[in-house]
Amino acid sequence: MSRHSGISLFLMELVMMLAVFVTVAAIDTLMLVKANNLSRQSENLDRAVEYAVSAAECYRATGGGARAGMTDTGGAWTQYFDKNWQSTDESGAKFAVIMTDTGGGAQVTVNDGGESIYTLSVKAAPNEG
Amino acid sequence: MKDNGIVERKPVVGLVTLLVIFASLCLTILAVLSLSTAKYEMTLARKNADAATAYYKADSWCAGVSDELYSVWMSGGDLNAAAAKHGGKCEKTAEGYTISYVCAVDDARLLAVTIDAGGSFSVVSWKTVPRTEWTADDSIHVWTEQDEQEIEQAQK
Repeated sequence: MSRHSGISLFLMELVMMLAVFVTVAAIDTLMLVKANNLSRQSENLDRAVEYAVSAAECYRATGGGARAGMTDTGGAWTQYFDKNWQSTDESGAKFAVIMTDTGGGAQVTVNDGGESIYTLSVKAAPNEG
Repeated sequence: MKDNGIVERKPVVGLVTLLVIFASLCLTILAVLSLSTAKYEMTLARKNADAATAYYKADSWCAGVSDELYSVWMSGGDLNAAAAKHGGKCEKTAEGYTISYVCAVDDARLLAVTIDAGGSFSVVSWKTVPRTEWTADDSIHVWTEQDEQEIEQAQK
């Protein structure tokens, strides 16, 4: 009788702890997924700022984006990147750096899919003479 | 021991609980540390992005002022008034004028511009400077006999 009650107590503990572990594991997995997403977002933002600043400096220096590796598409300069920020063509692109001339200046926008993740405005280099 | 010689072992109650608590604690600590690191990374990335945006905003403003001063210089207008309009200074030199003005980038930085408007109009400097003066602390506190005596007196 006492052996049976001991086994049932052990089984009850096992089931309860299994439930606790599953719950904790589920919460922790959610936290890890969120951490991974945040980490990816921050890396993308860092890269976006890096390429936007590069395009802006190129615009200031040359009045265009060709020297920054961008392609002139008539009033705008574009550069495409895949998910690992490797330069690619438009068809396989996840990120797009688009610099548009605003007349005396330029606006650089970095898009992730169709969504803008970073925008920068730059004015042309001051007149000298 | 039973009559047939088989040893009867009682199931160990509590061991599973301890193991699960330990594993859960380890998992939770790992997840919390990962999440807090990722949050700090994101905060840093946002600060970096904000700093770049603020710099180019100030840079655009300074370029606009410079273009305006250039137009005034080209037309032979009053550079003093044009500089003063934007909070700048215009000093007369032997060769013409030196104009300087600043724009706040953020709480800690200023974008300082100096323009030489003499025979030609050229940017002499275009740089970020700290907003407050930095005072260097060049004193070194060396342990002296006097310090030791003061401590001894305090202990007494």
